Amino acid sequence: MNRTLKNPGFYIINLLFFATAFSYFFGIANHILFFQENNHLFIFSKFYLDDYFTQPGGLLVLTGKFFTQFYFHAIIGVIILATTLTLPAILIYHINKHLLPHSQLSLPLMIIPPFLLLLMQTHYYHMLEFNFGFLLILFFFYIYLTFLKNKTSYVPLILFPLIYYFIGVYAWILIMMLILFNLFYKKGNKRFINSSILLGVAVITVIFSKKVLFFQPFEQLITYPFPSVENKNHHLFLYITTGFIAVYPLITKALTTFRTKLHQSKFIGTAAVVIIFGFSIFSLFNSYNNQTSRVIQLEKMVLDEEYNQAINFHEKYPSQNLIAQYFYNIALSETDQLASRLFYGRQDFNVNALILPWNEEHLNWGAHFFYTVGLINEAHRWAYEEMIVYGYRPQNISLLAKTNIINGNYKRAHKYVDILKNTAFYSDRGNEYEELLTDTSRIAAHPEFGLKRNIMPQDDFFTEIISPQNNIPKLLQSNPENKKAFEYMMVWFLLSKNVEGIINNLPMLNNLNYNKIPRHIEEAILAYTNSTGEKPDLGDLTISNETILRFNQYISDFKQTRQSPSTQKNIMQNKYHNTFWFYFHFK
Amino acid sequence: MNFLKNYITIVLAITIFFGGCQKFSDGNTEKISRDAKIRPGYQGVTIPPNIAPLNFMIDYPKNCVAVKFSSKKENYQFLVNTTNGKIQIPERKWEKLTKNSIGGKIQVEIYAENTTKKVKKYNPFYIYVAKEKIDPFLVYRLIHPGYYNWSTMKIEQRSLESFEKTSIVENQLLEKNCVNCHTFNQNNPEKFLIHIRGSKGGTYFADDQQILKTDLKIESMPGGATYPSWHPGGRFVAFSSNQVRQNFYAHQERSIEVFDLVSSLILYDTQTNEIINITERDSINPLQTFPSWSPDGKYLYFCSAGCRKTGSNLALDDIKDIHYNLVRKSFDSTSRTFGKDELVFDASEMKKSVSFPRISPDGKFIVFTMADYGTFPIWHEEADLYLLNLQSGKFKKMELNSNKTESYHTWSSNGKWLVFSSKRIDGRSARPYFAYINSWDSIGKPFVLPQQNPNFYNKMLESYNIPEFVTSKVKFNPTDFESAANKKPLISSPGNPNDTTPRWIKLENEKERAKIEKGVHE
Repeated sequence: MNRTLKNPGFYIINLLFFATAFSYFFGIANHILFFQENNHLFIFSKFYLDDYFTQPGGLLVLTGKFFTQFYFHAIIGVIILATTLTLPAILIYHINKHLLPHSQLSLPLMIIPPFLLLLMQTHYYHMLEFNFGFLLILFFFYIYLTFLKNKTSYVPLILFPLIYYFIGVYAWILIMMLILFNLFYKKGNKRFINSSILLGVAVITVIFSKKVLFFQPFEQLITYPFPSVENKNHHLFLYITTGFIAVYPLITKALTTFRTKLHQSKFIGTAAVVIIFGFSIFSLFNSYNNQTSRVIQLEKMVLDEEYNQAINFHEKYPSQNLIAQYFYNIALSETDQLASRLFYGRQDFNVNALILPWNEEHLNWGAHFFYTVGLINEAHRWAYEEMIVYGYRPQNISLLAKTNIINGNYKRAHKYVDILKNTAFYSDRGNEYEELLTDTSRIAAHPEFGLKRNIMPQDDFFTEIISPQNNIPKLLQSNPENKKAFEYMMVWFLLSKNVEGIINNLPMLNNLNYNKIPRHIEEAILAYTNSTGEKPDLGDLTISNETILRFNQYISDFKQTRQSPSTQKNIMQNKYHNTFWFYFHFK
Repeated sequence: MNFLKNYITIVLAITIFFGGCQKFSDGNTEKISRDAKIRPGYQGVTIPPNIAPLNFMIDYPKNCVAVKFSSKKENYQFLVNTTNGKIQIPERKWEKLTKNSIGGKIQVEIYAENTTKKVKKYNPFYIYVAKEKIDPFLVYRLIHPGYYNWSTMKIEQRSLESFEKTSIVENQLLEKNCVNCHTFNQNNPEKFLIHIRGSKGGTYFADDQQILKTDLKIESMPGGATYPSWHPGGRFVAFSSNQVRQNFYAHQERSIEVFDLVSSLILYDTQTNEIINITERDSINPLQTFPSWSPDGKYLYFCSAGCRKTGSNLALDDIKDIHYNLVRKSFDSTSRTFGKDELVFDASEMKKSVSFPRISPDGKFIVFTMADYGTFPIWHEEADLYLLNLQSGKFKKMELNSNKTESYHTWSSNGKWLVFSSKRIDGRSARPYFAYINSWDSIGKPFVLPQQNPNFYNKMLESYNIPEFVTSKVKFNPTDFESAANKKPLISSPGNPNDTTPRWIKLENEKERAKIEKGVHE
């Protein structure tokens, strides 16, 4: 027996939408999933979970965080996200069976909120729980229409406080839907009374929550956990989505007043779907920002310690963003290439992409420089401050565990290791650190921790906060064998075009057992010699022939192109973009 | 929620009872002459008779463990079993046990069944029960032991006789302002003050039923009102006024150094709403802090490091040269005047520095914290508690110290118990410890605040800050402070309008604080 689908359009549209969302977030926008997964650490522990029970909406956020942790695996994460974005369409379709039965307009209507959510989701701060909020509103409304609308009207009144506790402010949108449904779809004077009672229960619930149940400010009780993303487009889509869903019964009621032909016309229904699809996909790709994507991807590679991958990525897809260039420099330092490869990647910010200044804007990232150069106390401080301000995140807890292990604070390290062990995807990391805590003699031999211990300060000083670059000479004085600090000092000179600074510190090359001068330092030496006529003492080291040849070529090309200043930079950039000389003359 | 907890406890208890642990008795055990490893280390501690159960963890992965608690005095005993290493003592049984052991000791015997079902019995240990009760509540601030930033913060009270705790102040109701320095007049829960720093800033005086928000700042103060001390009469409060800074160490041995650029002392008269300078006007960059009254109100004790160099920051060597001595001034409450400084304890001679002087209620002793230098000993691992006999002048390092930080301490109302902050568990987070002070020569081994879940401290990242005893439950709750914070503050005025601006203000008048110095006392 052949079975035919009742409404194939429903399945096709939803599949198409799912495929669109899946492709987008698995493809060009996968950085959003990483960003959000890295933004929060879900911990299976009473200490962590308790906090989510202390205010209405907390459970919604907890649910969102729970599913967000699965973004750790790209495919699972994208399936969760795409499914979450598609489900509202399915719910609205079934809601329409009650509100707009047998109408071809049901299909275009059902696809509007999912596309709006999808467009909001292009912003990396649009969290999964925001989607859940709208999804649950529709779900509860569907349950009401299907099971409760003809039954006793006090059931929604009883359930409202529980729903409010679960989804917070989204419950108000649901209330609006229920009131409008009551007013426009029911008959008799009872609908006015029921609507008033419903509104009254909602208000009393909030007041009772404030006065008796929760120690939360009033503003929090009526806004949490509504999204507050600082982006104009996001605001616009959010208001449209909220308004659309809140007054949906009114919209459908208004549509029922139109002629039957409109509702029966497949052409109109299909055309509307196509227009909505087209406009949304256009907006989707318009929202994509490749610079943001590059920064986040670079951050991911560095946090995953895939330093060579990060270096290659930035050199192939240069980012104009300060944080991206900062991470590129971190990756170079961790692979001992900072002074030999610095200019292979974009350097647009002078010295500012070497060390991030202390402020809340950079709280997420600043620790890495200090960790790289061995100022472990300061790395700990940044990670700790980030944890205080933004909560538990994989990177800050990991860094806190590592810095305490390196510093020999094993009991403290245990606490952070315990946190990692109580997670779904970082327990391996926790176990790895725990093994070291079980046998602390292995720490000195650990490739990462042992190295950091060797380059830490040997005596004490106060860390400079306002001018953090001043920590480097202090660190070098305290531990003259700290090669990473030395290279940061030298590239600081390079980026600030302080050639004399380079020359004055050349003797340290021998002290630090360099068997080869890093390329950019060679370039600076040649530039110095060319300009002053003096040859600095290099000890046992020499400048490579390759660099000398290249320098001669540079001088020759520079002289030749000097006649046309308007094109000189472009010509020189093509051949010498990755040299100190180009940076010195043209940046 | 309580019902659910109780239901689960009952189910677990039944499970454990029928769960397969064999019956432990001396007849079927092998005695081993070894101490069991337990956490917290409650062996040999002295406790008050009204303390909550001392739940603990046993560190061995055994199948079944049973712990027998017995009172030698009244022949009362009971057994607590566990299969997960957690010994959680039933509150009623514990209460009966401690009552039966007043002036004596509780014997604790641990039986452990290993994987081959053999039962071993460890060396018993004892818990001594003092005659004197402890104040029933402890008030403290919960805060992450961090640097500049803070987030959620609360002042909480915990019953010492049970595990009940409630919030007094929660800062999410105060726009995430910083709350600190809760201080009670004579351990009285109905009369206390707290500071709030930020958009709702002020000093909040709680008195009986109401909370009054005040602005304690006059021109001649170097900073806001900081460390408080109530005069026993209740009319006056002495404060230090500090310009506080933080520096961070690079070497792994230390973390943070908090110091004062300048600090002076003021007296606040709650009746007239006036502020009077205590520190002499001709002092240049004084360093006077931590005021503390004698129980009879005739003397104000405080810490003084003379005066320091000018400048908006200090180098490490400069800070290492700062040593605070213990000093006092006499006080006439009628004229609101003070006498000259009298040196009480010369710590600088020992190259040490005193903080937090606290006089016992009977006026005989002072407990203070002493560290190698500076004025913020909670970040000094070498900081320890010292006892000074005010009559004989003898002093000693107290037996209750550990090799980690011991700092902030207060006396109970009956003068028999001391609560102090100790970082001995993990070196970073401060926990409240209690010690029985029977006499100069007899100080009990301290014990940490007991928790229902004995594994609590292993998970907790926050510190217990400024533990203070109170004689009964504080009735105020966070919404009371929220209401008070929305009111206009009462502005204080100088007690002597003829006071010229002290010289330290002229020299160190910082109008702009660095943006980075967030989260530090203003």
